[in-house]
Amino acid sequence: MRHLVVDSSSLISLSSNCLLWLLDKLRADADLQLVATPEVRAEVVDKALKIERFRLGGVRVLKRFCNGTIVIDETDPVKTNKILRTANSVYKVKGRSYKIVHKAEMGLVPLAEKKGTGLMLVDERIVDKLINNPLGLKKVFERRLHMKVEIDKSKLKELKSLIGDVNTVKSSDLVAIAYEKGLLKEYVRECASKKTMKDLVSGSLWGLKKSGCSISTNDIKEYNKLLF
Amino acid sequence: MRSSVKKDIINILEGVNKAFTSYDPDEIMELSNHIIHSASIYQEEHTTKTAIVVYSIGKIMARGKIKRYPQEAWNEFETTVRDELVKAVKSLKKDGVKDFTNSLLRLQQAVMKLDKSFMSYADYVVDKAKIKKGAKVHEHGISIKRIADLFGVSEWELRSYAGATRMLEREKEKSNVKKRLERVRRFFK
Repeated sequence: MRHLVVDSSSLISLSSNCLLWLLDKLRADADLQLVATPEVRAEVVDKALKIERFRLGGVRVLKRFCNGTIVIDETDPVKTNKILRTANSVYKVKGRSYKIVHKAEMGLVPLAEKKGTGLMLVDERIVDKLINNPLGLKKVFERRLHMKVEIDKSKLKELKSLIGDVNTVKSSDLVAIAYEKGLLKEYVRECASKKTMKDLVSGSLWGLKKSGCSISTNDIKEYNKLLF
Repeated sequence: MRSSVKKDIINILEGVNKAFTSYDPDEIMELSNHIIHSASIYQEEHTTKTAIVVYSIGKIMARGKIKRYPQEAWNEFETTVRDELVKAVKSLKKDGVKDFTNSLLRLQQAVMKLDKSFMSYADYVVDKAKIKKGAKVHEHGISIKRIADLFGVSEWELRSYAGATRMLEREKEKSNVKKRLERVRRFFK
């Protein structure tokens, strides 16, 4: 069984575009088990059910908790707090720590380690950049704040050590892999054509982007180039 | 409250008072953007609440130009805003944070009262203000989950708004799709 720890950001993107069925397909086809923390469930299900506009989205995710596509597991609170404190002290603005991430996001790392998986499904751009391009993130801050931002190198080193080999993928990557595995064919069975399949993939990527998955227009062009 | 935060808020509110008196909603909106820097750096409730209230006042005024509010309701709103802006600044100058917070609350309530007297659908200015200002803070590099807590909104609302902006296009970053796809392919092998 392949475990993939999932963030609320990805579940929201997928649910908003009625694409959660991809997770069911990947579970059946590729033995994928999604794991979420109780905090993730609280955000994507419990909160959504209280907001009329997002209630249906919440039910879509709830279905996946009920059918076992997503299971709940607890993360390590001590490790989580350590990673959170470190992550939120990497960048300094006006001599103060620039706090950029939330406890629930950093809690995914110890859970990923616990499940023996190297991957977290996260659509949030700040978490992705913090892990994969911390210098690039510094430039974003400087551009937006119009002031110098310092990186505490020892904190950054400590963060890299705490995160280890755990890395991120996005819901858009799952769409791509589902396409490569032929799992999208059934969806357009009645009107199967190369163009329709391309439209399904491209439309899904645009939908995810518009729902908050942190992919750019260039990223979507790159997906099209790599997949077709 | 930090002295730099207090100074920033006082300057903003004095600016809002001036712009409100001269009926300049564009200036008020500009001031609500200015306070986002402080909201991003300090991430404390007074700056976020001030940003929401200032934006809401600006939005109400902008709507007032196009869609006339009932005169009596508008007069009451005008009086409350002028009084409370002055009170808020006075309280902060005397380090009366509790009184300042109460003034902010009364300002927000005044906006909501006027808004509800006119709008027939659930698209209220203050709720929109939280999302819009929250999205602005996200552009400053704070995660949406963190902002959702700070501004008291749900992630669902923030993500759906942030997704519609052109923030990532403006950043013009090199694509790392290829690397991530390789990663996910290895995972599923």
